Amino acid sequence: MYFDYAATTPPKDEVLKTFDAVNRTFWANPHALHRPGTRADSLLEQSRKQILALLGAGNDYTCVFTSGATEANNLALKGIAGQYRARGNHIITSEVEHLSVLSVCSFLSMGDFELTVLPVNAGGTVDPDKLQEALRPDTILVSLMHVNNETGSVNDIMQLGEVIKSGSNAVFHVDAAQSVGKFDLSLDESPVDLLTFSAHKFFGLKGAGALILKNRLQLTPLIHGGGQESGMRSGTADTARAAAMAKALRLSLEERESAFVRVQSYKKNIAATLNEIEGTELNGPVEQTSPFILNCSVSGVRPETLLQGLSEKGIYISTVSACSSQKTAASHVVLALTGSRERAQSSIRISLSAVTTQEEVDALCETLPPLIESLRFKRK
Amino acid sequence: MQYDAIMVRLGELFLKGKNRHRFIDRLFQTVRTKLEMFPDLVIETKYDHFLIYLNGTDDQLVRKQLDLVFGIHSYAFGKLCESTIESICETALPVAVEACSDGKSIKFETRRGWKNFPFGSIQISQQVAEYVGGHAPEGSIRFNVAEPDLAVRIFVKKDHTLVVAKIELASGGLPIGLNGRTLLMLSGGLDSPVAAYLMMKRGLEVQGIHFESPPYTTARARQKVYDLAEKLAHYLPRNQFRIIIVPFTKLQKEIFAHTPESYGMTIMRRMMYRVTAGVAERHKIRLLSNGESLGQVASQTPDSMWAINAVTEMPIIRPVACMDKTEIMELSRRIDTYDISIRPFEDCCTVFVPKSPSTAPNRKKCEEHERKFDWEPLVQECIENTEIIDIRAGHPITLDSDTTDEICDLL
Repeated sequence: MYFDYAATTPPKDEVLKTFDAVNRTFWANPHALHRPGTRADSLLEQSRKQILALLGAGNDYTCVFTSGATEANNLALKGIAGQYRARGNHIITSEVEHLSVLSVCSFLSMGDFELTVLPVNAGGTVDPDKLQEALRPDTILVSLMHVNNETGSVNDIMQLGEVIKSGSNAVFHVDAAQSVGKFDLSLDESPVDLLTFSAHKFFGLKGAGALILKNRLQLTPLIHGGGQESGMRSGTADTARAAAMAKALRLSLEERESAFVRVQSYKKNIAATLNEIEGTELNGPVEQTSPFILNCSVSGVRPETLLQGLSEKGIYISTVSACSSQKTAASHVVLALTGSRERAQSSIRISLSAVTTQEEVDALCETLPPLIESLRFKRK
Repeated sequence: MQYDAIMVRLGELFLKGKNRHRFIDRLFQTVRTKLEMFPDLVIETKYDHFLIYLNGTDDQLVRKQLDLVFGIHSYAFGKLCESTIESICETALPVAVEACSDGKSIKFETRRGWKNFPFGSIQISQQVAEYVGGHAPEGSIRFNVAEPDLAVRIFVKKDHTLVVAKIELASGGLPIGLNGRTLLMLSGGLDSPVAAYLMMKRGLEVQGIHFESPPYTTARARQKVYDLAEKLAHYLPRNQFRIIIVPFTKLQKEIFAHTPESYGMTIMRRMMYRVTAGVAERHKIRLLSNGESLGQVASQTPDSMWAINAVTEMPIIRPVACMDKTEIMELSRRIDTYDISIRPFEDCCTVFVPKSPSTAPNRKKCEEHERKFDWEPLVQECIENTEIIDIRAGHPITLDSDTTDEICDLL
């Protein structure tokens, strides 16, 4: 029983089928001018078009394929910082961003960029007024995530974007790794300039992601070379991964609405169970957050122990976020939300998906209370 | 508000004197063809307008189709009634209430097309205003005769009266077909589709001629032209755009084998003009056109035009000659050809481009260089071996349709 879908999802059979078929029949270099090459190029471009269309991005946007959201975040932030340095050197982000945004920002701030890291409220979201105050004439970039990967907090992208657009000339970047495929996004009506996501979060393959950006924007590339992907990401494009991602996104969005409603009720079930256990505190509200992610601090048990205990019973959850859980550290997100180091050090994440079933949720809810109880007892 | 009818008011046709009825007939045919997809519509032609009874069809869908027809001045959306003062008053009441709904002020304005109506237009407006003022719910109507936010118009015709809720401008221009035809040099770039649009707007039926140099140009260049043709076909009365493809490889190779680099481009353009003129002759087309824009590239300087244009006496129009590139781009976005035009494939003009083409070629020198090889039979060959493809609106032709199907399955 897998409850770690925010870390990654299993690729769908149809997606694997596309990946396999493309590698067999469209394997030519899409940049080659011969027929197999042009065929591969047609597929690559069609995949791009489909992804843009599915995200409600019309003619104003383009799509650059990357190896995933981390690369896309790097490309977006370093690319904008490099390209628009002459306009200013101030960058705004928030405390709860993914490390692939925060680390890039602190890297940039070691150079000649100034960084403002906004706090979040108890709901885990950025306050528009705080953002308003932080904006300066020399602010060139604001990077805020849509859905938080640890707590599921949802920033109001429309409202925050309005603040940015009406108060500055800054470019607005949104890390949407946890919302693409799960939330209804329509870029055309949004103030978003750059958006990143990763295919393996919606039943696609690892190693595939994209940066969607406004046509008018230029980026300094991270990877120089043959000038592929409009010069923004050189290297032979991986047609199969791109096609598999386009397919995975289509399939996810086809079942999006029904899955969303279903998972919402699962989250309520689990939250209710956790609330009844003494010494547990949910990090972030249950409503108005992503139904796919639930974060909770459990006192009296080390989260690793709880993870191991559940693992022995065939139930898989995560502590902090998988990407950084090698280090035993407090969750910077939970710390920002609650201000409590204790809670930040004892947080677990349960994440759900469109393939989670009621049976699995029931099993989790039955297992958790006695397990926590027994683990606490052992510790005495 | 659900509208009953759209009154389609015609454009410059009144200037056309004796030919008026021909223009109107043609325009009526075109409107019919464009609206074929809506089975519930009834369209009537009147003296100075068409009347489209919507019968429940969505007015915005109809409008979108009508926007593809040139020769229409404006649309009036509204409610229909009998031409009696009583029914006009009753119909105007809800229209007026809705018009005032956002706190706007109105006045009534009447056009009495039917002179036998027992009241004059001012009297009609007054009577309707009196009725509406007396019957509308308290405070729901604001009149302002001097400076109204909106004028609710009443068109009194013999058979019916239309109470107009809103008027919107149409595409303008002249109906296509009555001003004859033109053969447009269609490279696949941004400019020529815009040129096509502008000429169609002035009533010309446009056909495209495209030069192809396989294997130097790829199938993708042809696909590009097909896709552009499909977009342009929507504006033509029969929904069909004709492309004439010229096999240019042999002639092009000869040109570059026999002329110095700086003159290669000029002479190539001269040959293209000769072929175009020859093809036009065969199809009885009397007017050539292209997407040249002043100063854009070497062939588009006055000296170049002088040297190149000298090969034909046929009139050539260059609709975008004086437009800025940004204006051209904007228009190409509006007619939906931009994304196709910017696809990066080689066309004939870019294949053999010299490093420094002459921007001030000499006509005499061109002739001297041309004497060095026997080009006349090659030009003739181009004219004779053209391929004609008619591309219909909504039915794009895909060259590699097997691949397209495969891609569809994969995604």
